[in-house]
Amino acid sequence: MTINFILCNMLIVIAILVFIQKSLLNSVLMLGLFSLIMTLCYINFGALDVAITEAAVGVAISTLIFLAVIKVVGVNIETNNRKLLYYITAIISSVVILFLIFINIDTPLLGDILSPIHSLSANHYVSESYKEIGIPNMVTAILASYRGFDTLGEVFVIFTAGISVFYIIKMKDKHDEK
Amino acid sequence: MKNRLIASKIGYFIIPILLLYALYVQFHGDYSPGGGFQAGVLLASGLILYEIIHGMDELLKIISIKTIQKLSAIGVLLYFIIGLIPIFLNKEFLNYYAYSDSKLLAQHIGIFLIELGVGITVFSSILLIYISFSKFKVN
Repeated sequence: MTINFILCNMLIVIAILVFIQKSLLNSVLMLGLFSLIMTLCYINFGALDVAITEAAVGVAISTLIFLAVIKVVGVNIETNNRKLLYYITAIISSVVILFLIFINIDTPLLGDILSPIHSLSANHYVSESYKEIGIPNMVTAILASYRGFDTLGEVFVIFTAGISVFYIIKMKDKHDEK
Repeated sequence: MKNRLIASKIGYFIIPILLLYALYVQFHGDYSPGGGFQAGVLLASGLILYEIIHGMDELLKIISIKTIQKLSAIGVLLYFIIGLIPIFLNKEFLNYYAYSDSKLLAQHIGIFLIELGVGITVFSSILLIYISFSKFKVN
């Protein structure tokens, strides 16, 4: 419990550090650090599949993509003629944060055995998945067999994202050449 | 590439381990943490590290953009066809029991092939996104 407390407080500190940095490069590095601490949180909860994903996507890939973008747009943040936009953004974010805090009151506690996610289909997966599917990794069994249709949708989303980013940027390049 | 001594020395050491670990996570996903998504991301990060050290031209010599696009479609199609075949064998969509008489073996075959499709698609999509962003130029 104490390690959770330490990790969550570190997350809050790093999240504040992310947006008080003057240089975009420092912000990106802080975001990578945030993902690294999230990885430790997931390991602490025993969710190793999610921990590998967070370490690879959050720490490595997204930081590298941000760095590739910074190489194009530059390190400094321009703050002229955008005051109104900043105020609107601040108001919208505060409303969303208030909503999230309000929702958080009703969420079940961590590890609450009476919460809906622990009393419906999870019991079936825990007790029966090895007999029905025959593989020890329960996460793969749920993702690929019980919820195969959902995973098909996810793969289509990833495919669409990759192809669209490629063609949007290619279209802009061609537009600039004319 | 100039002044990349540290990156290239670390890269020679760590890229083979990354690629091998990606293959381990892909083909061992039934028994240990991981699966197609994680393997695809690890494989892509290995190739991105190669790009950082040696430059974009060297990466595109290994694997061209056309190939990456084809791979990302092949992964989705593999998944979809694996789901489609049971319909012609009088079973439901994505019902793996059509692949073998033994129920556990049928599940094994289905999960293995589907994870392979997921891995190929994730690998090529992430590589495609990274290549697009790093080739992008303002003005």
